[in-house]
Amino acid sequence: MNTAALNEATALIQGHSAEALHIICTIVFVYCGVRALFHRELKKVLIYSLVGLVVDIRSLLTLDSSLALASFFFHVFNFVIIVGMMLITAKLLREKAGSDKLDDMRGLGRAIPRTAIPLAAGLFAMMGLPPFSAFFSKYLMIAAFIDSGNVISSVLLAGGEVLYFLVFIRVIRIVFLDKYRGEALVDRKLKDLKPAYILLCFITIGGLLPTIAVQPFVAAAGLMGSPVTDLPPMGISWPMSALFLTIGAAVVYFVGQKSNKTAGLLSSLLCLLAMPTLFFSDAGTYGISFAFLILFMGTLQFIYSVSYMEHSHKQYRFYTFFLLMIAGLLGVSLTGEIFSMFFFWEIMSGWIMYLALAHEDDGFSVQEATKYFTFNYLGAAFLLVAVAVMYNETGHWNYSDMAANFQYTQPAAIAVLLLTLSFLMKAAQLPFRIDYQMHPKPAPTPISGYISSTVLKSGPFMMVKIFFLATAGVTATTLFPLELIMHVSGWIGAVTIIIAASFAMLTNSMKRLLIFHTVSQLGYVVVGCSLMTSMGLAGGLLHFVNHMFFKNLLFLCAGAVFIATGTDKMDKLGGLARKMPITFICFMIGVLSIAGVPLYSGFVSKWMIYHAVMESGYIGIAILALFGSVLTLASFIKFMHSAYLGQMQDSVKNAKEASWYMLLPMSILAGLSVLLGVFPGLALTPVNSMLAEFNLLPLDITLSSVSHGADSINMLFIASILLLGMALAALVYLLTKTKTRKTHVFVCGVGDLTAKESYVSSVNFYEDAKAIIKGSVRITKKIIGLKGDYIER
Amino acid sequence: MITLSVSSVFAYLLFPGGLFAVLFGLLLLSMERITVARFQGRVGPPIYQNIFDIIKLRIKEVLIPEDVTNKLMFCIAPVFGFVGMMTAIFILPVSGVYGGTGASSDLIVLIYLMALPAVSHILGGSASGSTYAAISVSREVILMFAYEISFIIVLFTVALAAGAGEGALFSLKGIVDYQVIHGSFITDIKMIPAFLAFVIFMLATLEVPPFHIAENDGDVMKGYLMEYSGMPLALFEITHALKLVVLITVLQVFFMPGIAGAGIIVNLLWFIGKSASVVVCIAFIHASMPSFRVDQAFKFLMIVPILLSLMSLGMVLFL
Repeated sequence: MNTAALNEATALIQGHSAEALHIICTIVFVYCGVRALFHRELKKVLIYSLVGLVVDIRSLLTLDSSLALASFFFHVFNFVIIVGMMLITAKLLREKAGSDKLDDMRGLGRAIPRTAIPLAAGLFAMMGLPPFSAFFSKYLMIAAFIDSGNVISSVLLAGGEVLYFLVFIRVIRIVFLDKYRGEALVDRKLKDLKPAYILLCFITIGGLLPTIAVQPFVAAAGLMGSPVTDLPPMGISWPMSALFLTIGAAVVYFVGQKSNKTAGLLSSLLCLLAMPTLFFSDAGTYGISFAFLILFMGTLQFIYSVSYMEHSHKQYRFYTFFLLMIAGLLGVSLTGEIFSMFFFWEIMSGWIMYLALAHEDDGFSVQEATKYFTFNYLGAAFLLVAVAVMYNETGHWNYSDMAANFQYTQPAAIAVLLLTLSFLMKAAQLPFRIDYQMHPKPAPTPISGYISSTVLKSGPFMMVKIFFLATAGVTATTLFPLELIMHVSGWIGAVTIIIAASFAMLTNSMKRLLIFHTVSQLGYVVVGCSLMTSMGLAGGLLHFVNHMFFKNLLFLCAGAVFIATGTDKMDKLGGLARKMPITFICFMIGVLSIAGVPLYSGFVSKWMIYHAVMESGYIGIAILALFGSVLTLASFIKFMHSAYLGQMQDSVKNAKEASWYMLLPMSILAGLSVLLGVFPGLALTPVNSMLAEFNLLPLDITLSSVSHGADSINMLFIASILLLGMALAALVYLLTKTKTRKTHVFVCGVGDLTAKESYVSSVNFYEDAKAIIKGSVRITKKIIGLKGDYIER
Repeated sequence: MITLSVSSVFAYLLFPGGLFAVLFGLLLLSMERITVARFQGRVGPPIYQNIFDIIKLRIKEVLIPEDVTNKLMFCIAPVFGFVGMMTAIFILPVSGVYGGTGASSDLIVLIYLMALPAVSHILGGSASGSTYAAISVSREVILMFAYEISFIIVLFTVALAAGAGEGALFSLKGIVDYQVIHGSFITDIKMIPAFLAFVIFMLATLEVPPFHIAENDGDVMKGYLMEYSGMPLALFEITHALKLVVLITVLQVFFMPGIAGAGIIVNLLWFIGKSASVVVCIAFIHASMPSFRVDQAFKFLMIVPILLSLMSLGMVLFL
């Protein structure tokens, strides 16, 4: 036989065998995932998912690099420990529940938390979330793929894990978040739990000290093949304030069990105390200013929560998760390394956020929180790949070193694209599936307000950072992809403004209206930041700050109404202004700010954004953005009329003004909205120094005026002429000393109308405008598969 | 930084803003009433009728309904529109007579100021607790929603046309100056559709037939004004007069700011003459048209002025 032919045949078989192996592995991966997703027994679910994931990891071995080998060992080792821990816990749970069926374990995690916690930790660890060691091994796995040039397969790999994410989240929902219906159970003794907890300690320590944990596997890979030379450093640089709040969260968990008030005020104090640590940070004005706002909003939010969470349950748990989330956000804003940023990003939008959002524990809030968590997980998967590519391309984690070594290659362009995509996803742009894209309505209002006003800003915040990082390494000839990305993201922002604001016209729920408007206002921020001109960026960042204050204010007002009346439906309310005058005034300031009426914040920032957009020649975006303001005003008029004004309804007869714990943060935010409306220079001074950080020309500003080229505006001037007009009107009122008389509303002689009959409810407010929007929404709904009246409810 | 000098206070309080604008607006309103009456074969009121109406309201007692949801809001609602219009007339330039305020006299500021009368109708009507007012508020917002789009597009068209290929010009003074040199936009064929769209916008904002919907006497009994009496009502009437002046001035700034000569007096008379003829045209439309239903008006406003203004925008951008 011909040796050449033989060799050829062997090579052919070998080539195809690798392919065949791939196909078999993919089939096994999907099969195991689907089986695990629908299996009824906990143990089988765990085993199926272990097999599926290990088969998936096996593809690392085809890469033939020592980094891949090391990460393979590390990842498999982690999974074996985690699954072992979960199997031990599952056995203990089985003994309590009497069977291995998931149905019998419903809510068991609540009845015996001490026994069940390792299972929850294990499930979150399997998802690859920090602070467990699997987070790092998952990253190493992706890094190994990218190191061998397989960017696309690493995206598929990270995306494919969403299937297993669904498996794990299902178990968590059943075991930990469902209602427990059986008889009372006693937790296991600590002695029996020891093995599971030792393993838990193992993976947590591995997660906190990854550089040490990975060493044995690197050594093993070195023994088998060549030593690993290109291991990316995986140390996490903890900003001082984030560390402070993490420790503080633990304190709150134990001390806060005493009472709700202690826990709330302690958390608020912690946020306040963390502020001075910002002076020692080296993150630059951009990061420090954001961190300061994060802590400031946190302080207000916890004061508000003292009153809001009074009738809730286990408040200390809520405060702990909330504080940890803030710590994560601080990490994102302050850290100078992109990998640490990703670590904190996952803390901020991972399981901690999920548990805080699902705090109310009823079916609806758990379901909605799960949807949001899933969406965030997908966004983080893209981020993971992008972060790994960025390291591979530049060889540094540090932003400034990265910018210095940034080259325009194809993978780098893909990375910038993925980064932009995941930051836009965080900011919930193009809100077709608002139920997935935005934080859920039934979550406690303080956290809804915080996520809306502050956490979601991490999207535009990071987007600006990445754009500048990319611009730094770009020469004129290769600018094209970045320009295109910025162009597209600007248009996405503009379209989002309109879509979200018109959905808000349809909705009947207070909180959902505010959630839609968050997306819509973030559209303005994204438009401004995508322009990357001085005026655009300054306008975007000013709106970033303004929106923080007025949107949180509106959420807090909605929360106060919810506490006073117990309903979220606008057509069930009416005439609240008489019962809650201070809340109403705060709310009006919020509405005037969000609509951008002169003298209130929101006007100057929008003015700057319009000017910047026109300066860059985007006439379409300018028209959409301005029209968005009209829609915003219209939908808030509906809110204002049907909730606060109009005839008083029965449901609000017993409503009382909110407590001082609620009114204090609200009045501070309202005051700030007015202050920034007249003196935008207060916020623009730091923005100007940020512009300098980004190598843009600073704007010409004073305390109350902004000017750029031929365009200028002086808010103090406008304010003084408006006040002069008000004084004139007041003079007119004062000079007419005619008597006033109390009468009844004129109803053309009809005497027997009840308040309900003469009330124009929010549902009927804009019938004609709604008909058009509904018509276009119906088509969108068909395409995206959103069923029922989700938006309108 | 601009300080409030004596001349600007004068401009704000007496001329061309303040007293002059109020009296001028009230006279224009009376003139419109007379012209409509003449078209309909009636005699109409004397020219000073609207001024006397305001003076009369000064001595009338103020009725405040007990069902008012928020008394404070009910009383301060008229102020929003009044203040907005006073400021708008102050920043608007009158070609050859008054140069506006330079800085801050800007198209974007103008949009927001011009929305304030509608906001004050909405706040006042909504706070009064009357069902008629609630219906009229909902109608007002629907119309506003529709006509603002075409206004925004017209505004950008004008800004782009005045920028003459070098981006958009947002300064009101700049727009006037450009047209004084290069000829008024009304003589430019590209701007005619935008002009028509702006006239429709004007009719809709002024709520003259065919857009006499939100404050229709026939079905909603003056709507948001229903519960108002005495001085607050007078403030609404003054705001209405100012709104007419503002709209006519904006029309002239956008489309026909041509000057008649060198002197201020000549130009002022020219301005008054142009305004009076615009009012006569409005009165003619008023007298000859029936009113739309709200849904018809909404559909009309969503289609006709928007298409017209987009036509102009397209021509300015691509021709």
